[in-house]
Amino acid sequence: MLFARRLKGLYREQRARWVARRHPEVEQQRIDKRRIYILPTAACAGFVLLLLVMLLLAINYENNLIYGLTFLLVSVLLVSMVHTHNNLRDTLVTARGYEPVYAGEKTRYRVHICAPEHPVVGLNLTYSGGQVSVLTLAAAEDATVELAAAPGERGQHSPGTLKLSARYPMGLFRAWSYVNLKQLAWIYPKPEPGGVLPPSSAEADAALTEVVGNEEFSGLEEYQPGMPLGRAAWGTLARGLPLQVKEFTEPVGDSRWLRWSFWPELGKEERFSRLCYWVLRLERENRPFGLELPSKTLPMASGRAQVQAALLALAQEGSEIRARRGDRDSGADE
Amino acid sequence: MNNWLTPRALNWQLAALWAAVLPHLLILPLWSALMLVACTGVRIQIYRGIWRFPPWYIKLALLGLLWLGLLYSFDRDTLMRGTVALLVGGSAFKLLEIHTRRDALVLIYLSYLLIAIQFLFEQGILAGLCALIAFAVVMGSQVALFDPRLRAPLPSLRGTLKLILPALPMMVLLFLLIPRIGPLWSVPLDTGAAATGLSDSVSPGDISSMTRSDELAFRAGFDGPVPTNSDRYWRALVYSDFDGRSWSLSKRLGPVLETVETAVGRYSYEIIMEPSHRPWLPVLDVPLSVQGADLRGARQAVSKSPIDKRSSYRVTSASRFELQSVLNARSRARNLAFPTDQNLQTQALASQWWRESEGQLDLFIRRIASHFNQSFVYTLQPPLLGANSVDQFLFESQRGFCGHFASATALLLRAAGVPARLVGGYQGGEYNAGAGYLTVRQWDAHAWVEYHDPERGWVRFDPTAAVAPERIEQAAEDLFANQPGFLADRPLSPLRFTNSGWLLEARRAIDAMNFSWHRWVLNYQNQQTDLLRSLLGEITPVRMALALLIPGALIMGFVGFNLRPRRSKDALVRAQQKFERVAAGLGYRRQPSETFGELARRIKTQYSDSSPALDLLAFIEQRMRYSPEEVDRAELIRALKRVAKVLRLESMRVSRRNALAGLKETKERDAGSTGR
Repeated sequence: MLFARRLKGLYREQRARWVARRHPEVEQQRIDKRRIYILPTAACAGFVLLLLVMLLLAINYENNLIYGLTFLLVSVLLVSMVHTHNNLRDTLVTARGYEPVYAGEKTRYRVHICAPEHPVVGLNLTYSGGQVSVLTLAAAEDATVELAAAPGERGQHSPGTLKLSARYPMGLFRAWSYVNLKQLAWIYPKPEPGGVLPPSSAEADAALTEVVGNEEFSGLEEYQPGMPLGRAAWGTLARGLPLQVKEFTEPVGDSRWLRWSFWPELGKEERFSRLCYWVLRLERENRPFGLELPSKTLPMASGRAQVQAALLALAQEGSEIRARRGDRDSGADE
Repeated sequence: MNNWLTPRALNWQLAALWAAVLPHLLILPLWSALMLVACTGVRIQIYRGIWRFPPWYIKLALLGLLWLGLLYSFDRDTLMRGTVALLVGGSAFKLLEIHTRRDALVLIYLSYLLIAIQFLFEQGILAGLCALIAFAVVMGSQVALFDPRLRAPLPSLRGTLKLILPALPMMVLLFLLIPRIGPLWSVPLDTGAAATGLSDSVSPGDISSMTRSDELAFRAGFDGPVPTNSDRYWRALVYSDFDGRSWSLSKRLGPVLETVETAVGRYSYEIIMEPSHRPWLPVLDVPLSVQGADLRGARQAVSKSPIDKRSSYRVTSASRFELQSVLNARSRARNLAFPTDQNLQTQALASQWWRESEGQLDLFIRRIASHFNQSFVYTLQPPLLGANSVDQFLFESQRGFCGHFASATALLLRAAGVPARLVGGYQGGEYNAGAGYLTVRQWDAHAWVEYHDPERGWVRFDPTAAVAPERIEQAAEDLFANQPGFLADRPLSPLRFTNSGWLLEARRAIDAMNFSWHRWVLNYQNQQTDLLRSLLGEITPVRMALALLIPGALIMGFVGFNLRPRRSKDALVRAQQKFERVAAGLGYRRQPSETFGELARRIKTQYSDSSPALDLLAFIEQRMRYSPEEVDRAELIRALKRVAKVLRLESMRVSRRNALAGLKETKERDAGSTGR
């Protein structure tokens, strides 16, 4: 049992390595015919069993019409194989950023799919460990889908290989392809409540009178990835304008410094989690804050931009930007 | 994975099951139909959210009911139909527990199987067409499972046809080439309706029911000449034993086959026999050889097993022949035996005529014929006959049909000391000139006499011809049209209305189509070897494999070719693609966000020679983008094409220059190395 599991693990690892080797990282990939794999499904095994039963009937009753029907089903099986293969063919897959998430949540990446001159039916998209999204596109239609990948640790995260598969039209074959998109997400630390914030010095407080907050509507701002969708102005979107977000202002509370040195008793990741919690809490309370990390310091400020910057700094701290093979190769592509 | 069924897929499921089951409902008891209707109704209610899926105990109870119904309606003889009823019932219950795609697939596969089983009961052209339609519906339901688009059923059916139509040539190929093997084990088949046709004994009066039926007996397709109507005697049974009232087959067929000593006028033909549920096969008098059956005793063709389904065999016959001129003592005795205590008047008449004809066989036969010619009436409704049936027929009623005349003649001959026997079979047949074959129906059933002439062997004598010579010269339907008994049991038979003109032509054409269907589809295994030999020459495994693989690969290649990415119909798109290709060849791949104008500007930095064209393109493209109404599309297409052309020339020039430079370099290096 254990041995079997280890063997399975080993197989998966080998396969993932093979897939990664065969599919270099790209921004965009057209699924040409050489990238499509195809194998019969379990339903095909049932179908073949049916064919055998029918063949037996035909042989034993010497019934040529049953022979004919059996051969028709065999032919349909073969033709459907070509159709299944063709369904995926020439689909264009493009990486389109990600939705920021906290550690432990499923990471969410956006992928843009563009159908070729024929429809793409029943396309299943999945990252390993993530959920399956099903998509059907008419000829030359395109769509952006948000895909959930496996949950990640704080820091930089890559969703791994994207798998596209479909069984259309008869479910007797499954065609699939792998795409290794250049997709990197920064994962914020998981907020952990706790601790008390030491009182901060008053020098930075004086300048600010009003910061972005929750109370009074102050205007609209263009949507950027990461903005809370709860504040989206759906009304303007319906009028055909780009998606905008309502901005609110709020009276200022007293400001605070968030420092790496505050909770020496905690481990490294717990400190990130604690800081993250306080960033979010101060944002909720609409209080300006500054962030001091070993390699980076954010000056005292408030508002959405400050929170974004703080969360990003928390995510990036301590992890050097991964050197990617794709970067080296990209020159040759141009 | 999302494996739940969409509502549309469910509708398809119901349609598929009904399409597959409908032909079966005609032969199944009423309760199967009711069960299917009920399950469909429940399924629709579940779908509408009014009812819920039934719990397990209700399903179990239904299963019990199904078993009871099966036990009540079917027995050992109707095992096949019982199996069908079981399958139909099972599919109906499966309707009540379809949740996922997998359940639906089980039902779809069952539907395919039910369509196939249909062919065990009915194999006509119409049945084939109906099955093809049902097949398309079932396949549509399978496609609907994997196509989440909600569309009207018609375009969906079109999508299915896209799968079926390319599959048809492949199917024909497999059908023609895959070798047929015999049954692996014997299988039960419902014998169905009571046996029709010839029986193993003839008491005059038995054949009348057959004579009236327009049911098809067999068809015969001739390779060469077709016999004239008076030669169309189809021999099936030879009755040698007479008990005073009825003639029956000799208990021992006799292992010794009677020999044909001279044979002139050969016919070679294939007979496609309708199911008779008897082993005897009609063949043209007299058969020389039969493929696919045995010849036994008095030249009777006998199949190894009863003909329970349409089957075919090849025969060679001779029209003029001399059969067994020397009779051994045993068969002589058998063909002379009759009960001497019955039909005394007949015996006396025979001795009287034998004396009058002075022992000359020809005169004796002529005497019989002229006797029948005088006052005898041919009728399909003869009176019932008493104990001395031959006496009663000859001296009292004088009304009867072929069985009466043949029986009386044979007894007269035996009483006179001439070996004689009764032969049963068919006489005549309708010739279909277009397709070159004869159709023989049950009303052509006939009986005649063979007597043994020491000089000529067994000689055929048809006493019925003496009464009504038209019967030999004309087809039964023409002759019997005025007879009250003819088709009396079939007042609406199409044959009543199609005796002349275009209707007759149409009927013959339909019959010819049926004949080809039987010959080339239903009994293809008999034609296969000849066909393959004429196509491939000698049949070897390698040739068979090639014959299968080469056209197969062509068909599949055609399917793939049809699905290939098409050239865009838009000239602008084509021109853009061309420009993109040339640019990519030079190492400039267009980025997803880049316009063609931007790409042109990017290329311009390196290829200054082409800059006017590139500038123009960038300009037009930009104008197109911002004020499309001012720019002619044709202008942009021209610009794109021009740029593609210029860049291609440029790339050629560059590669030539590089090649020259490379050559020069090598030369210099070579020169340097030699100089050192």
